[in-house]
Amino acid sequence: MEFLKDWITQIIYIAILSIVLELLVPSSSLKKYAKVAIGFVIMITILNPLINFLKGGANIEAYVFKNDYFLKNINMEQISKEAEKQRDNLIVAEYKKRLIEQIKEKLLNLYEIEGVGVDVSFIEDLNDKEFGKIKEITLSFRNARTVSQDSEKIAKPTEDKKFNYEEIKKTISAFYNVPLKNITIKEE
Amino acid sequence: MEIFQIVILGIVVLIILTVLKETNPEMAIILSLVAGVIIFMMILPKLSAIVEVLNTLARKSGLDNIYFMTTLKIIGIAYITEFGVQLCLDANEKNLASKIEIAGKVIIIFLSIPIIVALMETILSIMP
Repeated sequence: MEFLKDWITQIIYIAILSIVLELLVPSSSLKKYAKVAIGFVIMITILNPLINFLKGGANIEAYVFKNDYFLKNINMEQISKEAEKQRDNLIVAEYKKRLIEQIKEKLLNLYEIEGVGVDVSFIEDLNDKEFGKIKEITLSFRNARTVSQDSEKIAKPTEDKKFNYEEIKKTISAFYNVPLKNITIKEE
Repeated sequence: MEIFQIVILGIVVLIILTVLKETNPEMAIILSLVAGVIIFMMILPKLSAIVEVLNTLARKSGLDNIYFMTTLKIIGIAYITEFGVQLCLDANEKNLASKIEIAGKVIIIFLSIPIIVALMETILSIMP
């Protein structure tokens, strides 16, 4: 009898609650959607003790949690895919930045040239076996100048001497294993 | 009584809006938005009290928290969507209003999906 009394009390509470909740829903075309959802909640609450009684422990909450988790998980998977994509982009950008810095440093150390514009194109697909293999290097000497290591004296290339482009090409080609024809030098 | 303040605010804004709509329709939309937010802010403490009582009622009725939260979320979404839709209709942007309404409907269905599926699965599970 206790079970029946509890159940009836619960149904009365739910009925009152649902009336108040339906009063709260704004009067618009969305009202019927909200009413349907509220109706489902009432149905579950009324059915739950009955199902427990009939089945001896069917847990409706477990189903709700399972479906809720599943729906949220879909969202999480999308977010993690997006994050992975961004991480890959960051890796590629960082690799490119360091490569350019390295080439600039090399030019500065070996030939005492600074201000060279460097552009590198390489295999950017992280899943590729040959990721990072340099396809092409473009060196722009428009703003380049020689720097004397001993003193602070700075001279313009046109005033001082012409850069030895062929030698630079060969050095870069040998170091990075890039064919000579794929190294472009822009003098102006 | 708050209702006097709200109605007086509404009437004052209405008068300003009628004048503004002729001369400066852009400002009229902003003013109606601001008025809407102010009215909403005024009823917010009352609303939180109602939610508190409903919460107690839900606890007493043995309603699981996940259902109650979902229902409250649905009502909140309905309010916010309605607010946006009315604002768009005020600005004569019927297309945008219907899009906001669709978004509201989709989100409400999305929130009620776990409940619907759970109900279906439970009913099916007791079938002999």
